[in-house]
Amino acid sequence: MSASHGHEDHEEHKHHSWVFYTIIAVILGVITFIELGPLFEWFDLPAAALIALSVLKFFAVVAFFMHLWDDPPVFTQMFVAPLVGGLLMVTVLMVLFHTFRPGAFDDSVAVVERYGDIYNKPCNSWLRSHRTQRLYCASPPLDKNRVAYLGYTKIDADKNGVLDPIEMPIIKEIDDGGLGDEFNALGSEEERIAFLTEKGKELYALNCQSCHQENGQGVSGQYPPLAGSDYEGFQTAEGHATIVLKGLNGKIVVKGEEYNGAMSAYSGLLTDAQIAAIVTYERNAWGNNEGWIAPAQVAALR
Amino acid sequence: MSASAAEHHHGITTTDAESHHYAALGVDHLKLAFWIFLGSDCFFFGSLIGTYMSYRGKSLVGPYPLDVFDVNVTSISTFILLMSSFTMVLAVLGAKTGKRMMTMTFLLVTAALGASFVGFQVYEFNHFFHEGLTLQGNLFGSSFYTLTGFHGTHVAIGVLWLLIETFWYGRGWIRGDEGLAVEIAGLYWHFVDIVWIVIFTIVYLLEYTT
Repeated sequence: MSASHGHEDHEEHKHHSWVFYTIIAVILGVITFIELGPLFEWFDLPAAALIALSVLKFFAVVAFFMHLWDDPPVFTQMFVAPLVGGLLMVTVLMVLFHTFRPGAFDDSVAVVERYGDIYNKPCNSWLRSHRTQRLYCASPPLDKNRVAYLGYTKIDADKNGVLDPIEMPIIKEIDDGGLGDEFNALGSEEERIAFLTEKGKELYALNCQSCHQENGQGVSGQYPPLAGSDYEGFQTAEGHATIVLKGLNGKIVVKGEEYNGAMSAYSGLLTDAQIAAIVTYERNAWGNNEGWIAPAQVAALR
Repeated sequence: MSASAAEHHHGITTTDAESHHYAALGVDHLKLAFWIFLGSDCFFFGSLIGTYMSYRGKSLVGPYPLDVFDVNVTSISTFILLMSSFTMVLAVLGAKTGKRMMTMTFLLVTAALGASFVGFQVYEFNHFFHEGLTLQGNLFGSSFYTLTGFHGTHVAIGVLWLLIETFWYGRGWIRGDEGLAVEIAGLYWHFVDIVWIVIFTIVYLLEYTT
C-alpha cells in the first residue's frame, strides 16, 4: 500500500454491478444445490468433495461479497492471519482427539478380533476407556437404524428416541484378577463381606461414581441416590444386582423425586464377583445396612 | 514512529476528521478494526468447531445426528441465509452509489431473510429437543447446541443491527460515510454467512457421506 493512497483513491474505488453480484449468487446457489445431493440421496459425494465445495463458497463470499479481492491487502492480512490460526487450532484439537484416524486406536484391531463374534455390531473405531477399562464404540457407522454397542442403550428409530434396554452378551473373557477365587478362599461370612465391601469401593469409584457420586447421593433429577434409597428394586440384594446386570430405563421415583434416565447394563463388562462386590459395597456404605450378595447368587441372576 | 510518519498521520486526521478516519496504513480505521474483530471471531468459532469435530461420532447414547436431522428444514434455511448475503451485497451497492431506496429495501429484505433463518433454527431446536436431544444428554447434543446456538445468536444480533441501520439510514442519522456504515454491517452479515457455510458442511453434510 503506497503512502499516497488515501481519501481520493477511496472515493474512486470501483463498484461491481448488480449483474456481477447476481452471477456470484447464482454460482453459490448452484454449489449449494450440488452439496444437497447426498442429503436427498440424488447422488453420493465424498467428504473431500463437500469440503472443497464449501471452501469454494467461503472464498467466493469473502473475495467478492466482502470485497477482499479488490480492497487493500491489509484487510485480507488482518482476516486471513487469525483465520489460519483458527484453522490450526481446529486441526490440533482434532489430532489430539484422534478424529483423523478412526480405527487406529491402540487396541481396536485386537478388540474386534477378540470379541468379533460377540460384538458383531459394525463400528469404525473402538475405544477403551483408560479410567474404567470399559470398551465403547467411538465412531459408529452412520445408519438410521443403528443400534448401540456393548450393552449400552439403543435408540429405536420407530419409538421417537425412547431408550430401550438391550440384551447384553456375556463376555467370558473378562478378567477380574481372580476376585472370585480370593472370595472363595475366605472362610467366614464376616471376612467375605469385608472383602467384597473393600473391593466394591474401588470398583464403585471406577464404574458407578461418575453418576451416583462418591457419597451415594446421586445428582438431583438426573441420577438417583443409592444412600437410603427407597426404590422397590433396591429392597432386595437380588433386585439390586439385577439392575446392575441389566441396566434400568424409564421413569422411577426415589425418595420422593422422579428420575427418567437410562443406566447402562454391566453384565458384559463386569464379572459375577465384581458385581457382587459393588452391590455389597453399595448396600453397606453411606449409612446403608441392607445385607450382601455372593458371586454365585449374581451368576444365578444372569 | 518517525517524525515524518507522525506528521503524515496528523495531516490526514485533520483534513478528514469528519468523514473518514484513515490510519497510517491508508485505510479506514473503523473498517480495519472491524476486520480485526472478524479475525477474532474466527478464533471464537474455531474453538467451537474444533470442539464439535473432536466429539463428533463419540456419543455413547443417542439421539445421533441422523436420528434428528431434517434435510428439508436444513436445506431451506441454508438457502435463505445464502440469499441474504446476496441481498446484503445489493444493499451495500445501493449505499455506495447513493441509491437510498435500493439500500433500504435490500437492508429490510436481508433482515427478513435473517429473521426467518433464526425462526427455522428455533423450530429445529424445538424439534430436536422433543426427539430427545438435550444440552446435557450426550456429546452430540452439547457440542451441537453450543455451536449452532452461538451462530444463531450472531444472526439474531445481525438482524437487530440491520433493522437499526435501516432506520438510522432512512432518517439520515448516520454521521460520516453512510456507504461505509452499511458496508461494515454487510461485512458482519457475510461473516455470519461464511460461518454457516462451514457449520452446514461439518455438522450436516458430512453426516451424509459414505
